[in-house]
Amino acid sequence: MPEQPLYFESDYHRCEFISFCNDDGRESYLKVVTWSLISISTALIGCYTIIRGSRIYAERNLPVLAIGWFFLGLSWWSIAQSQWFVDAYTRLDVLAWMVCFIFGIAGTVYILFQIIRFTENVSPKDPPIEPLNDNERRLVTEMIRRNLGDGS
Amino acid sequence: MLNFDFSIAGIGSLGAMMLIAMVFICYCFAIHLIVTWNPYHRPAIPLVSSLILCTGPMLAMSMEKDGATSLAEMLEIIFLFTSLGGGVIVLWMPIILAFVTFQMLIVSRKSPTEDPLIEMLEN
Repeated sequence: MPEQPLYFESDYHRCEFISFCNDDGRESYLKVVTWSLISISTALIGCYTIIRGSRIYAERNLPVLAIGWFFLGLSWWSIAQSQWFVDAYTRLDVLAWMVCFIFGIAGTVYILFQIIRFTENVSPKDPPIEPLNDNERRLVTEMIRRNLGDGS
Repeated sequence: MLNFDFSIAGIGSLGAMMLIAMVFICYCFAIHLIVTWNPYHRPAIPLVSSLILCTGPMLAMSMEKDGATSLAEMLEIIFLFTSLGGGVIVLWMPIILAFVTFQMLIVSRKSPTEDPLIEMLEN
């Protein structure tokens, strides 16, 4: 976030709505953003590494699995260090904001779902697709066999 | 370590949070439609609708005081709405991470099941 211009500078604009634009809240805001990014990125790296190390796609790889759990633990540690979450979870008004936010998301998803349904209804229908012929069927079967089968 | 207060005048009401959620989701949906543009998805109507739903409350908020708006004010409100939306989603992170950690525990202990597709191909 760029530093706010001073009042005598030509590009000065007084923020009307955002408290952390002008005052000391800016520093705290940047700290929250930085630590949130650390928590999210370590969680993502941890999950990816755990999935790579587990027996989903290949044999279990214990060192990779351990590294993944280390990163996930690091993410939990960074959250536990954050006073912001403690403050938020002990305040009833913030909890109410969080719940209302979820209701807002649910309502918006429902509205967008209805808009997409309306769009699909008013759009002209595509003609039905012809079924695969023998050659295409053999090709698709071979592609699946090569990707999922023994690879030979 | 961290101490941050969302002390934003007039924005803390519950209805406003629902409105912020709507703006945030419509903003993300509009970006998604633009960057994955495909005419077969018929994106025109959903894109216009999400842009209207996204800009409407922001425009109303910027015009609330004096009935006029400016680019700087609009940019400030866009920043406010998106940062508040992102902030509330981050507030949900411990709960989401608890669920994800539980899933990772299952994944770590899981053995691969027989693939029904391979069996189907062989038959």
